Amino acid sequence: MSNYCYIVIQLILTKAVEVTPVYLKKNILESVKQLFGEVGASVNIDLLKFNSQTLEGILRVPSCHFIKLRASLVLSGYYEGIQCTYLIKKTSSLLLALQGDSRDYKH
Amino acid sequence: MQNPEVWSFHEPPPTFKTEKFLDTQPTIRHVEQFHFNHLVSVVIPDCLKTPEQLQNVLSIDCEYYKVDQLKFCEIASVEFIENFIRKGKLSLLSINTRIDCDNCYAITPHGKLILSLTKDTYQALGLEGKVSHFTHRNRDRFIINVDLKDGKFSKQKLQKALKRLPEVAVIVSWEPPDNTICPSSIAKYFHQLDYEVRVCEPSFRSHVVYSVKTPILETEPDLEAFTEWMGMACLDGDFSGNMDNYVNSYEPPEGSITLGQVRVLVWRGFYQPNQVLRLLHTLRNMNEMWCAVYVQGFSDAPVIDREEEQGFFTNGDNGNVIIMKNKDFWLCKHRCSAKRYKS
Repeated sequence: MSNYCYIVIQLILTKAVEVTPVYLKKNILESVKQLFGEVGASVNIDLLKFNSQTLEGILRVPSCHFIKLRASLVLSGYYEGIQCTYLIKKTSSLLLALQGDSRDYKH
Repeated sequence: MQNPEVWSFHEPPPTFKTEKFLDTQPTIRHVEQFHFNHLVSVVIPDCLKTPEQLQNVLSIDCEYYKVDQLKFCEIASVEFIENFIRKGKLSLLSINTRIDCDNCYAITPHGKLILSLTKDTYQALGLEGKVSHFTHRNRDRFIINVDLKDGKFSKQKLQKALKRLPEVAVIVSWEPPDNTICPSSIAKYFHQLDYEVRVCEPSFRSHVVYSVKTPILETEPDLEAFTEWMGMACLDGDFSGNMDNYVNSYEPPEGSITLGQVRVLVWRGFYQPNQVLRLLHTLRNMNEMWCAVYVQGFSDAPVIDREEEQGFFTNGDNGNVIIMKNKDFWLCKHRCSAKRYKS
């Protein structure tokens, strides 16, 4: 274990625009390319789920590239010319674990 | 100048162990040792309507209590130990405390008191403990283990030491030794000591995933791919991807068949191991294909199972996946990396 790592992200934009999964993926790949070049961006990154209302999504990346993707997301500053931030809500190597965390559960 | 190494950054590897059993006993043993259960999700293929009996099994009689601002020395009183620790099974866990920076406390159903303390608190306490596995190098976290059942410790000394701990919010659940005693006795006990006690009920949600390729679990299944598929079903992920898709190239494991519906049930709360066993018992033989259960622990509990210490680096996800297919049982244990970090 494990072949993959999973990241829950939320895109925060300074101006409300429509975000589609294809454009989001393009933006993520661009940010990886900016930091790690062509070879870094050749990794298979999948968007397993995306909610276009809350702009929350789940990314899957091979474990060996997890830290690079996370670094790229942190340093990514623009989405289609609009200032943006990627909020990393949770990361795990088990997809099932992203269902919830006891830390933010209100008893 | 030589180019710095930027390619060999690895995520600390978690462990994922799978075992196959032909009997229920070993599975029961593993579930019993997993003391603090927070989230339970069940996946049942080809099931449109949830059987009421199944829905109730983790919703009814699974209440637990939240005690605010508990002075922790109360748990070392003779009355508490005699009535609640030595009789029945008590689970207690501090909440809103983080295992990587705060003091965390727990009492397991076996009557073990486990305190995971920062260096300052530990030194002020005066109880004997050992340095945490994760901070062996800089020695800034300590673990204290006291067996409250065996009575070999000095209650006065323990009570005096625990008085020095700050007040903390805890969740507690108690399983009485026989049916004539009400589990709410624990709430009454704290209420009589003038604490604010609130009853908490588990939350439940359920959804159906339609027209989805479902693994059939042959004799030697790839359980990593299966748990990933389970995660996709539980999170209601996008199953429409394929290898050529730009956005999502996820594909269900090989040998999957398309089913009309897959039912997912998720409970969140505070469960004792016996309640999870009751669920497994209800699920047995419920479905002809298979049934799968995922049980996740608390991220900030001081122990995972038995005496295994919990660490927290980027997450504290420790859980078990139990898959039942006719007479076959698979148990997958997922644990965070137990790596020690330099600091």
